[in-house]
Amino acid sequence: MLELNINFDQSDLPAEGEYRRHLLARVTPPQQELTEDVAPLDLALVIDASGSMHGAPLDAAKQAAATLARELDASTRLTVVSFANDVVVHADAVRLDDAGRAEVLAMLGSLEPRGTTDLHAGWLTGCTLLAEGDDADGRRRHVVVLSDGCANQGVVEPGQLASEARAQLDGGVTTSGVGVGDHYSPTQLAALAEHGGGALHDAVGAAEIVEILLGEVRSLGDVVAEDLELVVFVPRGVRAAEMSGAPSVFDGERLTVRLGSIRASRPREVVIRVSGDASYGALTVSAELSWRRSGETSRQRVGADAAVATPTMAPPALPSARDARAVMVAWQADIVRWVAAYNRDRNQEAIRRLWRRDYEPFVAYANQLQETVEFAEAIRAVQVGSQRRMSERRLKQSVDMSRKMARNEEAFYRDSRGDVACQFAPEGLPRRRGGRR
Amino acid sequence: MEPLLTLDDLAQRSGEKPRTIRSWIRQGLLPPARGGGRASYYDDEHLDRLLFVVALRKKAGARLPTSVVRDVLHQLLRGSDPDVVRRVGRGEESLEIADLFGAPEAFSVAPMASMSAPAPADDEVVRYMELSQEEPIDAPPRPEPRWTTIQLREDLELRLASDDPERVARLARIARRLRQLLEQEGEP
Repeated sequence: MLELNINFDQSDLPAEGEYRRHLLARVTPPQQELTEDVAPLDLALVIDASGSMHGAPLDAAKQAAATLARELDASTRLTVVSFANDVVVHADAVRLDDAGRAEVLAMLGSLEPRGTTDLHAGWLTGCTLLAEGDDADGRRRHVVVLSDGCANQGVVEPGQLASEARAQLDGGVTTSGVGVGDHYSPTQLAALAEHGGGALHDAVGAAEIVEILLGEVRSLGDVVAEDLELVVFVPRGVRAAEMSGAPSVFDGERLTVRLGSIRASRPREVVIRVSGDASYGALTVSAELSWRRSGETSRQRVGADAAVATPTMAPPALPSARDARAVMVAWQADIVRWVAAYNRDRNQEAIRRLWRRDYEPFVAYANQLQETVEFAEAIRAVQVGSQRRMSERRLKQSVDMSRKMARNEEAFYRDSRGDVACQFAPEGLPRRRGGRR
Repeated sequence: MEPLLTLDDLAQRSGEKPRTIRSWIRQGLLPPARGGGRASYYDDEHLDRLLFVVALRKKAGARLPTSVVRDVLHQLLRGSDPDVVRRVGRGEESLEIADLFGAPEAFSVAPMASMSAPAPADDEVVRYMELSQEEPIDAPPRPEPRWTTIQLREDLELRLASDDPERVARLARIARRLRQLLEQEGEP
C-alpha cells in the first residue's frame, strides 16, 4: 500500500489579494513490498534501426539486448523488435531459459540498419506482441523504445502518440524511452514514455546506450506500482498546476496528474502550484491517489488528510527546508523546460517574458532560507545562458537532468554531467563534476 | 506560462474557430504546436500559414478541398520564395494560383485588405474545383504498404504488407502457432 501526504509549503495566506502557494504531495512506497513476489516480466525492446543508427549506436543496442538476454531471470519473456521504414520482429516472447537465450543471441545477428524512421509502427508492434502474449495476465508488460532520430514516417504527431501510449497503459502495457545523441525528438519519445507510464532517458551517444538500457530494465524489478494517478481537489476559483511537466489536466475544480510507475527505493514528491484570491478565505485542498499493482488490472486508492492555508495579517511563515528544496527543484525544472523549448525555437521574446514573470519570485523564494540559496545562483546561470543560442545536446541534458531531479528518477549516466546550471555555462568551459542526481 | 501565441490568439487573428485550426493541424496545413501538452504554443510560422490558408479559402471558396490547399501551400513552401506564404497571408501580395497548376486563366488570391471584396464568380470556383479533381502536379507519392517481418528462425520468416495493427496481431498469432508446429515436428 502506498502512502499519500499533502501539505502547503506555507500554511498561511496574505489577508487579501492574490496568493501563490505550493502544495507538496508525497507518495511513499512501502519497503516491505520488495520481499513480496514480483510479477514476471514480459519485456519488448524496440530498437531504431534506421540508417542513422549504423555503426556504434546499433552495435551498442545489440550488445545491451544480448546482455539482457543473458542476465534476466528465466521467467522473463523477451521480445526484440527493430524498426526503420519496416518492422522486423527478431524475437517474440522468447522465454529466457538456456535455449531461449541462445535463440535471441542468434536472432540479434540479423538486426541491421536500413531506411527511415517509423517509430510508431515499431513501438505499436512491440505493444501488440506483448498484449497478444500467452498467459499475459498476471505478468508485467513493458516496452523500452530506443531511438536516435525523429520519426518521419507513420504517426509522428506527439499528441496522437501520447493518446495511443495512454491507451496501451490502460491495457496494462507501459512504455519507457531512451533517446540517443542530439537528434532524437524529445517530444515524440516523451509522448510515448510520459503518457505510457514510464520514464524517458537521455544517452549522450553509443557509449551510454548499454548502461542506460540495462539500468532502465534492471530498475523494473523495483517497481511496486504502475499508472499512479494523483487527483487534487481545489475550491472553485483556485488554479492548480503541476510543476515538473508530468501529464496533467485541470478542469477548474480538480487537477489530475499522471505519475507513471513508482519504485520501492524512489519516493515521489509532487509539487503543485496553487494560486487564487485570498479574499475568499481559507484554502482547503484534498487529494486522492490511485494505482495498479504490476500485472493486475484493479486499482487501489488512498486519500490524504486535507491541507489548509489560512489568511493572516502576520508576516508569512517560512517553509521548512525540505519543502522549500522540493519547491525549488520543481520550479527549476519548470523554468528549464520552457527555456529549452523557447531556446530551441530561437524565441528570445518568449524567454524574456518568462524571466519577467519568474526570475524575481524565484530568487526571492530561494533566498528565504540558507538551504536554498544555491538555487538562486543556479537560476542566475540559467538566465544568462538562456540568452545565448544553446546546443541541442545542452538543451536535452538540462531538461533531462532537471526533470529527473524533480521526479526523483534515477539517471543511469556513465559519467556525471554536472548540475543544471553547468548546462547553461558557455560552451567549451570545463564543467563542474559531481552534480546532484 | 505565457506562450508567444496561444490557440485562441490564432483563432482571434484569423477569424477561424480553434476547432477548425486544430483540424487543419491534423491535416498538415499547419505544423504541430511547439512544445507539447501544457507547454504547447504557436509562433509566426503557424500564423503565416494560417492566414494564407484563410486567404486562399476566402477567395476560392470554403469547399476548396483541404488536399488542394495543402498541396498549394507545400508547393510554395518548397519553392524558391517560401516567404510568399507570409506576404500573401498578410495581404502584402496576391498570388496567381493558376501558375502553380497550369490553369488556362489566372486565379488570384486577394490581399487580406480586400477580403470584403465580392466572392469569385461561380464559374471561376467551378473551374477551380474541376481543376482540383486532378492529381496535383507535385503530389507526394502514395506511400507503399509497410512490411512487418516476424523471424521464426534464422532461415525462416513471415512477412505482411499492412499498416493495420489487427492484421499484424493476427500475423503474430500465426507465427506463434507455426513455431509450435515446428517444435512438434522436431524442426530446430
